[in-house]
Amino acid sequence: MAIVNNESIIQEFVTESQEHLENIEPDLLLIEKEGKNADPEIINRVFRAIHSIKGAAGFLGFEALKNLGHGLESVLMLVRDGELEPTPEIVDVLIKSLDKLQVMMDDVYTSNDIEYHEESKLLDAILGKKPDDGSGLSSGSGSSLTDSLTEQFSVSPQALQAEKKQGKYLFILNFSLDSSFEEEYENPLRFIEMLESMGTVLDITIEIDDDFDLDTCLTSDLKVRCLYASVLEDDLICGSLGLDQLTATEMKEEVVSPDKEVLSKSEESKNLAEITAKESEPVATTTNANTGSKSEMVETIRVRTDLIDKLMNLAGEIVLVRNQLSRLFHNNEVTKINGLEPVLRTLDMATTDLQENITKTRMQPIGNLFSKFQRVARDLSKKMGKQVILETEGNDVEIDKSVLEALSDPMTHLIRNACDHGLETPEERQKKGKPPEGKVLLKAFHEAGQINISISDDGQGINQARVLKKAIERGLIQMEDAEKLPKEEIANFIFMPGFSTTEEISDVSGRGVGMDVVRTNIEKLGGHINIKTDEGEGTTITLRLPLTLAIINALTVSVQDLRYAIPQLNILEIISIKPEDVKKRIERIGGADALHLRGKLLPLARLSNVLKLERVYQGQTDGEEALVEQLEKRERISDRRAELATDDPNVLPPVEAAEPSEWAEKRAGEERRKSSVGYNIVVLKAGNYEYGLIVDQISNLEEIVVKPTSLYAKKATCFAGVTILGDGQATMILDTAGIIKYTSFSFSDFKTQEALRKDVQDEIEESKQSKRTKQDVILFNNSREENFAIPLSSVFGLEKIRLSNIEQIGEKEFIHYRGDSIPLIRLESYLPIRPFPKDLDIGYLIIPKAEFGTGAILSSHIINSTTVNTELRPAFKEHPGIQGIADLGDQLTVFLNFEAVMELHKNDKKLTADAGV
Amino acid sequence: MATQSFSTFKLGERQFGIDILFVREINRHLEITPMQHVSDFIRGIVNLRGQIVTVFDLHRRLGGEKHSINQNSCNLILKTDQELNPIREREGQNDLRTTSESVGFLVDQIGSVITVPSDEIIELPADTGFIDRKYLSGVIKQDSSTISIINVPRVLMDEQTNSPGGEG
Repeated sequence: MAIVNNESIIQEFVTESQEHLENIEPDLLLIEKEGKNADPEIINRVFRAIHSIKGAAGFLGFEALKNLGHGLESVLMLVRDGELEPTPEIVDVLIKSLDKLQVMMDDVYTSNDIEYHEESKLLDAILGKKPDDGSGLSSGSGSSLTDSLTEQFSVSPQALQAEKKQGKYLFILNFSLDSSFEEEYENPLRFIEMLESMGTVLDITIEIDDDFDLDTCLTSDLKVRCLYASVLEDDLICGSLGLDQLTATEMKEEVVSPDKEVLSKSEESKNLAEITAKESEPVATTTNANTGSKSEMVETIRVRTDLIDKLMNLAGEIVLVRNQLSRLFHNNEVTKINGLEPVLRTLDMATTDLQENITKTRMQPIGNLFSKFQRVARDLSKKMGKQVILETEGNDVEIDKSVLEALSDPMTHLIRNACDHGLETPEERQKKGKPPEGKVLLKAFHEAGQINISISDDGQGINQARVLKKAIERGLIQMEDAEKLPKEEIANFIFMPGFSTTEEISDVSGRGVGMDVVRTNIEKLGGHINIKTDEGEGTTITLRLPLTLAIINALTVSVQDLRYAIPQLNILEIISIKPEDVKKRIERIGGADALHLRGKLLPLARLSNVLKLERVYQGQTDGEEALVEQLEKRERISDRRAELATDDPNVLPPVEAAEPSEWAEKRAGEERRKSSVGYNIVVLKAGNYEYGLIVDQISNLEEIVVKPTSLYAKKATCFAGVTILGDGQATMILDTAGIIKYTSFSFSDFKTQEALRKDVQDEIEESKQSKRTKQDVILFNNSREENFAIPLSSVFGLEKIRLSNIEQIGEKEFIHYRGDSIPLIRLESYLPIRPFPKDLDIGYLIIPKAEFGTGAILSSHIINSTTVNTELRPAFKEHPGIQGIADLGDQLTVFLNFEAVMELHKNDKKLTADAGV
Repeated sequence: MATQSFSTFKLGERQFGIDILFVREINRHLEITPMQHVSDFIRGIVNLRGQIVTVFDLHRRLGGEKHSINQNSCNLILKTDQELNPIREREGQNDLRTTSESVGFLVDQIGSVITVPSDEIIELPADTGFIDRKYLSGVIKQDSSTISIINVPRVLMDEQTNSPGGEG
């Protein structure tokens, strides 16, 4: 019978060693930074980690690993004992050797073939050039014992001396790996761990017979000799290892059989130990440290990730069942069973808890990733002759393992860019009055259910003028537009595909190749990337990422009774176009329909066309026909929608999005065909592009569990995954970027058209007064008397509600919206305005877009939405929540500063008394 | 004499069999959500107790027309490759392979399970009708009827190597 399954031991060894190696690197960097003042505990930690790798490697017969580990260990020991100062040069060698260890570990089976001469030469050089006190030590210890031990084992006299100094006894443990060994200790690693808990394994050798071969080396009985140092006396050692010292030699099947030689040697070492017994303090610290690391290990267990993935899936399943159950319960009032409701509520809570906690098991502190970059920054600064300090903040912020892994490459790229192009050389910096060391700050923090990671440098920033020049040259923007482009947006050009790949641009922009790849990768994760740069001051790139990839918020839309989910992160807004507006707001440009939206042209695609569903108009003919052909079919749907809009809280009532009045004028003379159906358009974002997707119906927003797309649908790039909806139906998740492939969009046509029209528009604009606020707003009432306006662009949706459905919890009010309880915002609580009428049953919610925070503004009446082009006057009473007032038609209208109102709400800054404006 | 068991079913009037070791369950979960931009024999996906199953229109896959769902239609769900692992080891049958994801075959009617001695599985006749030969591994003659045995790995495999359909 085999001693152990060698495969599994080696696997365990590799996993454990990888962990060690990961931890060693940041520690070494720290030691390098601190130099002489390095924390002895850290040095010890590195030492112990290398030591256990070496020990286990020796045991498993990975000679190369063992020898290199041994070299590292010897150097570290000198550092630990204060005999060698960890200068950058020395740490450099250590890191180099560590890298080689890593290489060996990556392919452990061939590790013996990996060349490590250079590393061991460097290590030997350090050991050799060490001041004389080392040899003094060894000569001092020059007993025959030391000589014979150093002969038999790969151990330095200094190491032996050090152990003796700590008052340890030396043993040679002779034992054989046979079946009884397995019974006792499970596997050799356990045994080593046990030995390590009581002392130090200095070296292990395996006696190799002539008939030794790799296949059987772990299954045959191997003779193992172990040089071991411990503070315990021999009888205690034998006792703790579970054998009786006197019978040890006779009990062949026992594990440790100290032979006569051992006993005599241990006698001698005991004498040695007794001599130095006074210096027993170091022993105590060593043991403490050992037990310390032991107890840390007990707290965690290693779990296979696929197991966690499975748990995650199961939790997702339970979430779905829960949703179905509560839906059934709420839809069928007849089936009221006593006590069912509280049970359901408990289930609800437990399920949410379960899901959260399982999600947590996949969470890892982002510090794990950040620490990796210390090395990147260090290597870069060496290579480029710059001084880089990498600081990290928010290391504890946890993020899904899969997100973390996927972040590694893009972040490395960004950090490399920051060091390479962002930071200046020390001389340049000093000339500019900056400290010679450039700083790169990695910061992670939570915000609105998402994780933000920023990479900031205090370097030279991006030369925006040159970026802009390049953008104009490449036709990414028109000259005239470029002048008007807000400064913050200029730097975003570096994310454009093709922009950064030209050689000239990398030195022009100060940012290297492949930023578009970085952006694509981040967006694949459902994240966003943003850049802010101040010339001369530095650049900050911010990544916004979802906490987890597995569960996302998605909007369900349907087309021809088929439902699809769209990740909320990709949705910019939802627009419903009234039948009578269809003609004036939609036109055909370059083979695709386009929507006039706030002076821009938004390309439109029909989901039914994208999916090539039958019975649909095929896109190549005239745009006018397209609209008509849809009529009959859509009539039915629009009727249903109209009906739903009043009854079903899950369906958005049509929101009338306004169009620029200039356009209305310009097109007024045109022939207008009355269309009897409106459009539901979901405005989507895919990279730099925005487009509208026409769907038949928009239903609710829900949390969905993302599952991978079928192998058989790999080519269907319009799908990002599949999921199961609350009612149990399997459905596809749309990929907003993938959809573009199935459309006839030519974004450049749109840009050209847009630019053309902007000119016309600008002329009109110029002929009027400047200094005006032109924006699309929603007009509504709170009290019946006062009219309010808020920017349409900040609104996610409108919703009709029964006021009786408002729930009061403590001081706060909540309302159910798409499966969530969200806080209700009464404007009069924050603004000096008249209160909401008391005699109403029905109200309207104005739901802000997610970036403004959660909450719904209560309104008594939605008047309409319109484009205003008017000058605002200051309000009678200055208030941060009020942008200004203006006359619209005959009515005085208060323009709200939406952001400020949401902010007031967030900080719970209620007014104490009501007052009119 | 070694025997083999087959789950039988009908596509139209023809009888087919599939090695029972491949079969995880047979059910009537046929609320299939159609998938677009995939090969035409991919019927869509169903939710099988929280697991997504890709459903093949087997008749179409074998070379016939698309079949509509009738009141006897069944979804024959295959074991995944992972589920087959232990069986493969136990039986020593290396061709017991499916895919990493759950796949179901849409069949017109399910029949009984038959157990036959291995030597009664005979080679394919020269004419296999509308069916592409490569998707069959043999036939069993029983009384007057012929049962064609589905070559499951073959039916599933092509699509993964030269990834499936989608007109792009």
